[in-house]
Amino acid sequence: MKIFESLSVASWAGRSAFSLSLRGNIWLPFLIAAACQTVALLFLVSFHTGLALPVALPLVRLLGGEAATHYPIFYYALPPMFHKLTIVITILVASFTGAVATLQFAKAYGFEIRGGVWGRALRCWPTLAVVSFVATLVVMGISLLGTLVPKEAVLNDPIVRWGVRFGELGLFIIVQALVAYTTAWVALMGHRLLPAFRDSARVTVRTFIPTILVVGIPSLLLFPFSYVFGRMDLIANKLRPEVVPAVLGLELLVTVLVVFFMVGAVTRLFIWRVQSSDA
Amino acid sequence: MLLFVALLVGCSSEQEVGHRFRAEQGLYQADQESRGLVLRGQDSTPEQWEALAGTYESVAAKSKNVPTQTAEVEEEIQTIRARALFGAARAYALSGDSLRVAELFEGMAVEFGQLSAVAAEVALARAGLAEGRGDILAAADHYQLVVDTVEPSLGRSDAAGMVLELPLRIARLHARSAPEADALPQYANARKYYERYSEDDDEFVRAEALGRLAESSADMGDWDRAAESLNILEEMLLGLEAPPREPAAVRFAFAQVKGRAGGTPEEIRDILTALLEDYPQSVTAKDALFLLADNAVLRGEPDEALGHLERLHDQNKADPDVGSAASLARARLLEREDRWKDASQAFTALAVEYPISQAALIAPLEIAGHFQRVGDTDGVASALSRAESEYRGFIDRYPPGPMTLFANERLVQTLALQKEYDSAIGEMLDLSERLAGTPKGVALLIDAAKLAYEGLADTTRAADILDKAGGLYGHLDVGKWASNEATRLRETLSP
Repeated sequence: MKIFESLSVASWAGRSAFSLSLRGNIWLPFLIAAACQTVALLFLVSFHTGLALPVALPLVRLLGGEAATHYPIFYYALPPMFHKLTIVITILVASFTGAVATLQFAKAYGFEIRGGVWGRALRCWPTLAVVSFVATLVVMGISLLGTLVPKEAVLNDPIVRWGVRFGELGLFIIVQALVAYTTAWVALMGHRLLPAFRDSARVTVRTFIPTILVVGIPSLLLFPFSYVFGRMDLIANKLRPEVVPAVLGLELLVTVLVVFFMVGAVTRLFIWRVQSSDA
Repeated sequence: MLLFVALLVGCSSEQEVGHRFRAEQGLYQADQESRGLVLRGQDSTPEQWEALAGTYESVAAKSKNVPTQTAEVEEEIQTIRARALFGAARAYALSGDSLRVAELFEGMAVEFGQLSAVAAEVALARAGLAEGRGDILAAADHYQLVVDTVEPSLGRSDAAGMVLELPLRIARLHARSAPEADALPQYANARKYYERYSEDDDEFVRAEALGRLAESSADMGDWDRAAESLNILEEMLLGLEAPPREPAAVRFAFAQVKGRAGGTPEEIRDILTALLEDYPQSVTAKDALFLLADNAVLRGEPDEALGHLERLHDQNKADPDVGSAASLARARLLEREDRWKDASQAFTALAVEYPISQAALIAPLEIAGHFQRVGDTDGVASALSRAESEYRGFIDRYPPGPMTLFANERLVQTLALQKEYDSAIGEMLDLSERLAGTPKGVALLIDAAKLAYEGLADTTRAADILDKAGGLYGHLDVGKWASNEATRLRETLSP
């Protein structure tokens, strides 16, 4: 695919998602996942209060260690603790709501879906939970790659530091692009686990630049947050530790918006690619 | 469900963690507020400090009698309460409420008696307060409590880091409290304490104890013992990879002890000369050369003294503090030796070689002092006039800072010597405004009032200035004194 054609396809996919941005039923699965994350965040933040304490305190200890039960260390440890909970929510909840969203988008794009969207998504849920789990393992593996670079070089050399950051981001985008169509293959085409991964990679290779753009731009939009969280102790010290949950809340909001357009655009590309192959 | 119930039961005893978290949060926020007020410096008001003290006290109140299950959390909450009360005391002190500070510390001494670290910090703070109000025996008692409670651990910023200096301080406080009284028992206690730690496993504690042992012995007039301790200390420091102080400084102290013990100038010269040979690159070598110059004067060898000062100057040309001090000392010695031509040149050269130095700013007044000594009235007048224009020129030329402040103070001195009292008072009032809120600021106002009263015989003006000091520094003892003094002066004016 030529570069201008690729850009035009990516832009068309994005516009297609945008055109559906006023449809409440498509937003609903995203809002459910976001609500779960919000509850998790509020639960963590109020761990020291009477009602939450019996359950939240052991959770904080489990995720952040004993030190995280102290102020202000708790707030410095909050982003990694929250992101660990987010992984669980992604595997258990977002895998399901992602399937619902994909089905809703596909229906809105004219893809024929037999039966109810929610019921169909529920049937695919176990497979999608495993897909999410595997994808999470791969993403965690990428973030572990950074630790192979000597710590001293990362601390002392800004070129190495930024190189590691962008290297990880690049790898993350590529991996995400390769698995971007798995949900669509499972939810829309009824694929099982391995064929879904295999065929997702095939679609990505055939639609490489549009997929990279559709997946990469949202990742780049979220990158500042990971940069900020890397310096959270400094920022929280300058302002106040209570700013951390606010930043996490903002990240959550931006993530919902960005993921909406990403899922919409990926589904559009998937249907376009599948239908053009059939034709 | 069973798991949930188990969690509830398990954590009902952990409410204390929530209490601790909220207490830490309150303390952190109060500390942040305190840092903000410190950064605001002069702009922070006593009312703001008082409000902050209230915040600290409320943190402390919330941490009181918290039901706890584990001793560890209980101690942590107690420590937070103690830190909050310390914060409150500090804030009250800055708001000028010394009574509340004393009350807080008294309460803390009772409440935290069993927590040795906190009790020691409280005792240290109470000792500082007692010293501040001149109750030195009470201060000594509080210091003694610290000595009895805490083991020394050098490098720490708490009581353990400074306890090693306290036994000597206690003895000196006793010696100060009634000079005729015999402070020897306290010195003997101090020596016993230092002897114990001079055999400590920690070499830094050992070195510090040996130094203090020498000081205690010197205070007691036991010169042999002082010299012996210093010799052991120097040898010990030479064996350390990173000694906590220069071995040369110990040798220098040895020379000073020898001097106090009645050693002959020749003996002291030999010690200092050996010091310069053994430690030529040490920081103390500069002090040794200064002392050697004084020693040569004592021995009636002014030329040798001048030689030492020239050497000091030549070796430290790049260091304006040392170089200019050496040049000033040389000029003063030349003047004392009636070699005025050379002295005059040396005083004048200071402004050329070290234009931005205290020595160069002192030189014009030294010149006036020479004419005063030789009874040359015209010379005094012209030297003071030159000094005034030099100080004014300096103040105009350089941006405000410590050196221009020093020049301002010399200008005030010059104007007072010229009997230009009105101008001197004006300068003092300007300067006091620039230094508002500092001890120097209030001291300048009091001096200005004194000059108005004694120099101009203007009681009303003196009372007005004292009133101003009372208004600005009413929260301090000196401010209260100024207000009372103003009232007293006004009463003398009443018919």
